[in-house]
Amino acid sequence: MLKKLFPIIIVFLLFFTSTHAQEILTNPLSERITEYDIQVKLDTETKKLSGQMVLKWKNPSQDTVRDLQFHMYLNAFKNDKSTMMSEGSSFLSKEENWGWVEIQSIIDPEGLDLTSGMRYLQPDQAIDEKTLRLPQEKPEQMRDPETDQTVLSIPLDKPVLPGDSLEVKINFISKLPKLAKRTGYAEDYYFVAQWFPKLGVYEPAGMRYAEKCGWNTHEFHRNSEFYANHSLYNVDITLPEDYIVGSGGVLQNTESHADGTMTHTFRAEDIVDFAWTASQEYQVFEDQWRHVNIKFLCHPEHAYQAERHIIALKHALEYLTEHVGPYPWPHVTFIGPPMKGSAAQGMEYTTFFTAGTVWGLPEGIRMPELVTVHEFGHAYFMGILATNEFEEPWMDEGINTYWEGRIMDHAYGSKTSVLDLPFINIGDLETARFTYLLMKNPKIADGYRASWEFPHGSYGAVIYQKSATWLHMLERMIGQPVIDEIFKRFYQRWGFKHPATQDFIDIVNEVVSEYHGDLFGESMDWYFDQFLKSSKMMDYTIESIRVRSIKEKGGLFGESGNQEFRESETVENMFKSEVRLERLEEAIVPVEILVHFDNGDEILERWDGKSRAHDFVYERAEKVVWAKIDPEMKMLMDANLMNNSYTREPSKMSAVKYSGKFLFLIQNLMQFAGIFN
Amino acid sequence: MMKILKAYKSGWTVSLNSKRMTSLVYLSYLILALLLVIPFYRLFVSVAGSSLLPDDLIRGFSATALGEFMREGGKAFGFYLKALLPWMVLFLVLGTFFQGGIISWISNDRGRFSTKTFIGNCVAYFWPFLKTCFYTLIIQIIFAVLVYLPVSILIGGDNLTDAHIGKTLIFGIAIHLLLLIWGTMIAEYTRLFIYRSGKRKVLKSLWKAFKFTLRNIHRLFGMYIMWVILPLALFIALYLIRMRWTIDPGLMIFLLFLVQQVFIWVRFLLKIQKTSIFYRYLVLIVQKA
Repeated sequence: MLKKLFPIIIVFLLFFTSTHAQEILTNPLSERITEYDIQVKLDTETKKLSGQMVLKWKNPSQDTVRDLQFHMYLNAFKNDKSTMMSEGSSFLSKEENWGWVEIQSIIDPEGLDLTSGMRYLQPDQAIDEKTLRLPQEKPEQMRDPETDQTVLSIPLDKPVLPGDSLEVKINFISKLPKLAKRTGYAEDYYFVAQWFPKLGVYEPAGMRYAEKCGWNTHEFHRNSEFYANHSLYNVDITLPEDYIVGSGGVLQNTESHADGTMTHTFRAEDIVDFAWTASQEYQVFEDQWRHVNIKFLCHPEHAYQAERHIIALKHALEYLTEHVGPYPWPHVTFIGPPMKGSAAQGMEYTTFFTAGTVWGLPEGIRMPELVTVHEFGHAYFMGILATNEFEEPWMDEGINTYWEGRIMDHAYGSKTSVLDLPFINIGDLETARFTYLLMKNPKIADGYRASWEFPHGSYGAVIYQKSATWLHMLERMIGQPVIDEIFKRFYQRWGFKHPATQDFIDIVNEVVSEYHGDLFGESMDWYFDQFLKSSKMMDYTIESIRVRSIKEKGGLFGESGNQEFRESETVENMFKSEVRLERLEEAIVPVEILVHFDNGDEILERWDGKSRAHDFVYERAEKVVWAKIDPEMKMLMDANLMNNSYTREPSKMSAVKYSGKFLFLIQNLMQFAGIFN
Repeated sequence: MMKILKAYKSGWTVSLNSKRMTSLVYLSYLILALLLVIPFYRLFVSVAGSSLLPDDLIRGFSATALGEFMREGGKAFGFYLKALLPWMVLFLVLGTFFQGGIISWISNDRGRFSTKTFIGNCVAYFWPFLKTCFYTLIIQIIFAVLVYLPVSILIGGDNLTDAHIGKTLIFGIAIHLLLLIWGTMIAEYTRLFIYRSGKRKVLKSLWKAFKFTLRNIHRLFGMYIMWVILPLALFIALYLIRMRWTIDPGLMIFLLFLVQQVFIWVRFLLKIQKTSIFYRYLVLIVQKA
């Protein structure tokens, strides 16, 4: 009986393993509103991809949806008029360097081709030139459709009713650009991102505080790429068989063809974007961290640094799991692009990301570690917590840079996590703070605006570094266990959803109130209003310390004719010490002041920091020697730490030490000059 | 080999007797350096004001403290960094000036050191040695072009790896280092030929030095390597001392300063020793001829 059944079982198994991809996760992590089944073939001569895609979409709202909106992000590389290109200088020149994507047909369930109704939209072109902000009402189409073709609207013949699903078949062709902005080819090296028509996010009214329902789509911008549904991807990639392929999915199968090509079948679940890479030279390193299979692909010249990358990734996995929440996928793939593909360095696609390094970097320069930790962090902040990077970029890059700092400083030392060389070292948090404060104008923009609204190239410092700095300051104010609880709750409540800024602030208020009551006021809104939603700066100073002998009050006392003159007399061994504080900038934060007396006594004072000036006065036998604002260095947003302390007995030791160093430097330089005589 | 060892040993003996001359050279340089360092110190004290933050710089390195400090007085400190280049030119001229006195004293190692005679010889040979310095500069520029032009062509192509670029650069720098040393040896022997001939014909002496160093290149490099071992060992020792002294307030800062100054003094001594070794070698070769 068994013998008779055996062929049937084999056929049955073969059928299921070949036509139905194996599921990666036992339970779906998200609603999986969108599913993509894509077959794509890469022509390595023309650098073109020809693809067939079956898109399934479920209407998550109570609205009747009459069109589909796609992100056609490869068209950002089509010409100099695209929004991305117009936001900076052009970097492509020859005809073969440009890239584009075209839908050739889109067939609805009735077999109707919908391409005739397609039109490009420019939803972000309505920016007010003066305020650099979007108006409240966004016109659907503002400019000549020739300008930017990265958002495409396709009217449906038959609308999608609330809760209904739609399946369309799409044929598309993509021409890869010469590698730029993490997309394209460099000779025979491929980094294939933004390569297929990707559906936007349909937001029902109320979602992310949207007043109206509708598609949330944005043009491809120089500084932002991501806002998408958590989706299911089954992707077949066909290309010459000598290429090694990596992607954000799990490799299910490979199949060789007679024409010398091979099809690689990948499946990825609950991720927001699918990118892949191919190179004939990749070396593959595999490792394991708990349930996670780690795969690192790099070119031979960087292979000796593979261990550094993998160790850094394990640090990040460990730390984020412990302090935020578990990494839910059983796989992560990352790559170290070669120099010719360096434009692909430092990018994230949830379960797939690109690191970055240079041959010959000493261990004390932690670039490979830093890029690995940062880009992996996006699996959480953008991947799991799928915020809208276009509209609220601080939630993506800002929060992620904060966690990068925590992981790096924890793993490699708070003073040595970025640079650890003889005689010079610097930590991640120190770097973030300096990058923000060394801006020509740190008040140029608040951090609560869309990614393309930052003037004069201020996006990086404001979104990455300033956000990270004020998050570190928040951590020091409320305590690390409290901020960990905030992020754990944020992860639990909003994981695999699309949280907005207010959702995060609500959790901060909730948790801070639970742990600290009203110690910081009714809510922490004041904190976000000052450091996120405004460009106010913070600077408290000790203007001076004054110490005088105490004198009895002198003068004439009593009634006329019976007046007594009393001489003003010094009270022995009693001194009046005044510690004079001032607030130099607009931001208001309660501060602590440590006051040190000449007998060694110390008093920790608290000031609400609201008034422009405040004095602490002491009348006692001991004199104040020095005072220090924020002795525990919590107030990282304080723009000037030099004026945070004041001593009546300044030491010249540091001047001696550094003058000695300067002298030694000059003497060595003069020895060097001696080679010419 | 015997000649190298003889020259090396003789160079040592001469340099050990040149402590007074070394001190004179060292002090002259120190005074010139202090012209920059004293105002730097005053600026540092003024920028630090009454703040406690600079105290963080006393114990080891603090990027935050240094960064804040430099932000406060950055522009003023920038002046001193910019001044380093003209100061190096001054040092170059001063070093050239001393060469006449040093060579004269080396050539007569049994004589007593006299500051007056020393300065007199410095003045006597200053002009031809300054010309030598100028020609050496041109030679060094030619060497740099000879190395980095092909290097830039080699690393300028498409489709290269960073490893290829890095290794080519390292190779180029190594070759340049060898040529740099050769250039200093040409300069050294040009001065020795000028001194020995008593004539001030710089270009002729330069040509002779070029031929001499080329003929004896392996021996001269051998001597150079022997000479370089001690400064290298000293540098490593200084590095280790500095790494160990992570807490260096007060006395430690003073001790470290002393060690640094002894290090600089010894380097001057070694430079005199190098000239002396090269001179003895020349004498030995000439005697044999």
